[in-house]
Amino acid sequence: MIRCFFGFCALFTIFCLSSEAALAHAQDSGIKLLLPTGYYLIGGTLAVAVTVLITALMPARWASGMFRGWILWRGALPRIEIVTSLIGACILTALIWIGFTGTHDPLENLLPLSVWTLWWVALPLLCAVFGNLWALVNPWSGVFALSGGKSILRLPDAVGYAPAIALMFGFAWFENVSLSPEDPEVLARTVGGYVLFTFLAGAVFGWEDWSRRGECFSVFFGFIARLAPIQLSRESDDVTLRVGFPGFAVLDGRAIPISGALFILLALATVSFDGLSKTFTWLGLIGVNPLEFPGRSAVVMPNTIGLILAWIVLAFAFFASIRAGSKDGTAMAGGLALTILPISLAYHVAHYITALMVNGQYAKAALQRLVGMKETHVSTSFLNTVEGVEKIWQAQSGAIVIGHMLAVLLAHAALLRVSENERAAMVRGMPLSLLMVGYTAFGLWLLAAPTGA
Amino acid sequence: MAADETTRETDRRTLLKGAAAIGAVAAGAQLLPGAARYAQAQSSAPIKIGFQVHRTGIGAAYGRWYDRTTKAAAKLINDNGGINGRPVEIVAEDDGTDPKRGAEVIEKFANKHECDVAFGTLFSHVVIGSAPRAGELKLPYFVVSEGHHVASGMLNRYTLQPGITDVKSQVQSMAPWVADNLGKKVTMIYPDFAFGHDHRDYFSEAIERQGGNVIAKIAVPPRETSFFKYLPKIPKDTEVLYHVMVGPGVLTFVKEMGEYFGDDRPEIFGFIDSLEAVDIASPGLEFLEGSHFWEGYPRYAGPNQSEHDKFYRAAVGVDNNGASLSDPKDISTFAHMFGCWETLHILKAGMEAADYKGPKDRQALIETVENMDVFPESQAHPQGSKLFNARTHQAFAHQHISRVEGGKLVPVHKTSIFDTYYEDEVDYTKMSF
Repeated sequence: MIRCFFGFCALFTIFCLSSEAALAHAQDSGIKLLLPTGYYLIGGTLAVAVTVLITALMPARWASGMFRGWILWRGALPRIEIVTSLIGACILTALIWIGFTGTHDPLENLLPLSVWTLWWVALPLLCAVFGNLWALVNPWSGVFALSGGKSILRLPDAVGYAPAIALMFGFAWFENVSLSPEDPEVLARTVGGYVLFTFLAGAVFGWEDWSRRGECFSVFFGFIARLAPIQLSRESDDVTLRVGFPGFAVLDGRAIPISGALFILLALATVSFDGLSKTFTWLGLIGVNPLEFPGRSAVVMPNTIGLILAWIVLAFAFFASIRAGSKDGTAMAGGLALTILPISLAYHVAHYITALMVNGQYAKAALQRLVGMKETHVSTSFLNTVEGVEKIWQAQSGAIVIGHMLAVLLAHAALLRVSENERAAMVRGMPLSLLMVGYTAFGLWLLAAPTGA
Repeated sequence: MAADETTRETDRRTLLKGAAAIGAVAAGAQLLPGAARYAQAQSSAPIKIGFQVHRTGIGAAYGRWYDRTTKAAAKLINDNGGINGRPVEIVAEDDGTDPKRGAEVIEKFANKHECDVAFGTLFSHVVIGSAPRAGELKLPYFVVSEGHHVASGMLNRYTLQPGITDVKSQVQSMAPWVADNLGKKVTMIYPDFAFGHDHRDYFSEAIERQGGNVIAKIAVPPRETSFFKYLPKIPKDTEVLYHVMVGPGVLTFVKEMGEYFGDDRPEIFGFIDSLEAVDIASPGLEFLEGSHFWEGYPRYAGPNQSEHDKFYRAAVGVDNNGASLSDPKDISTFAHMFGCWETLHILKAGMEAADYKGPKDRQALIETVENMDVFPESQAHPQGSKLFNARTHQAFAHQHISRVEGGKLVPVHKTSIFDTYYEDEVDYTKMSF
């Protein structure tokens, strides 16, 4: 099994590193080719490898203590989440209306800018800092709280996170493969349809359960929010505010089932494949000239297969690494999958930082237009200068390395909880740690690779 | 040869006659009082122009500037009374730089938005994917693509390219000056796909007509990101190295070329497409100092800057270095985006000459534009005068050669329009509507 795992990892690495590179933004990709990204790749990978070694030698109480939370405040707070959710529902309704009736330009219409830039790119980052803001502003919880929220059917336990996985896959396909996810009208139809579907599913299965296992964004933002250094929890009217090292809440509560692990792996595979799909490597593999990208419509099928394959490959590597570390590894998969959340967030930061910097300006201009102010011209000059591209590269590679370091530490802390001693935890966690070191190298290579789509 | 000369002389007379005529019309138009805005229109409903734009996908960097130029041109037209007294409304739709999406957008313009015409877009594959649908829907489709696909005859009567020249013109018009000033023994290095092949074929023929020849053709596979192994293939007796590398490897190509040649190098000639929207003064591009580039429209305003150029830059918000007025490091796609400005003005002139009132006049609009064989240099045509060939639906215009001096592109030569001419490959006017 171990041989099989390492053989697979080797194949995966060869696949990822076998060809030269790619170009999405021709200019910044071109400048990046002139930067010493190879040194960053080696240095970043070594930094994560050294973290593995230090973690192995670290006294158990240090690793466990690092992820302990402290209660900062406890008291009563009014339930504002019903009001904020209703406000969220009103804003979303207005945005959908704007999507249907406003300008057809996706970089001027507030719906695509809000969905793809403010919500999907910026909100996860805010959740990773301030906790689960989606629980406050999602458009459903307020309505269900006011309506009593009785369920008609019970979602079987055996289903686990399967509905959330199916919906997250649909979302990933829509974002990364479908022809025009930014078209305001297409997006308005899709968002509107999803909102209504979720109301229906919440009414049938009960909002509490559906938001925990079915509504893929509640699941996603809920997981990401566990990384926040501040955590707010409520029991009736009593609210507790805890603080700690980022990720201290990741290992709180019950371990998630295998399907939960598959959900987290799908989220990471999605953003990884979106990066990979633009590289010269992938384009070469599917027979596309990277200097003459024919458009999304020409690569729907290979990219659909690639998205699925990326998830399968990542899940196989993950489960194989756990199994290689311990015969009872499968039982630990749920807990250990949570420890890759920092990697998922790191990929999110690295992958979307440029989009945030460019489309954030378009969002600002759209808001300026909305309130009648003179709009500011969008500039992408930071993608055309060595200084600009270097700073972005450093932020991206820094996020990847720090994310993996945190994941290594979290995995060790998680294993200490279920192992008889430090040595056993180290042995159990070593294959997963090696996978994380490999994924660091993959992530840095992905960022440095020339792109053509 | 004699026939060629006769044709050229006829074209030259047409140019002069047309220039005089259009000059008179333009002068007359300027006498209209501002108070007459929209007043004489039989309908105040806007003229809807569907703007097919690369907002996402690989063309997005061009799309941003096409959008900015289009908005500036539409504002100017509206400030001056619109078209036939009716305001212009730009209906922008993102084509995702995708041919299938492009065709869908054309359909939306015709059936959903009820646009009078469609306009815009650069990438050839999007134009080629969209034009058949425009033809089926009988929607005039004015492209700003630069590709030879319009004049090659592969499209239809509803597709026109009156505001920008095509690559065949651009490439062949470089040959006389290159042969006279840089050398006659040329080595070409180009990416090994259609774009590079077009340059190879058009320039090889053109330089031979000037008594020169291409002594080596070095095709580089598109996936290459290092070029050291190709540089030794450049023959020692090369007088001019013609390069058209594109994609993320361009900067690496220039850097490696500098390391390979050092101070002992041939003359170097390239197309600005390689470095459009890139600051020529960027670190790593020092090796290009003293080399030459084709430019459709000089990025840097020279000492002989025209009033029209000054006006155009101010309206679009671009400084004398071709950068955004709001961010001097944000370099525009200056060599191409003027095509949007000029095409919109041609639409205005065409619709007014055809007395365009609605979709039923689309055919008349195309016939009218086909008869507009000259567009003289003016505020509407700041890049310079153009001849429009009705048979091929393609504009022909002066091209520019600039030399890199002190990290800037300094214009050194302006070609004749006749240098850009080639024999017709199609006669769209004989196609039925």
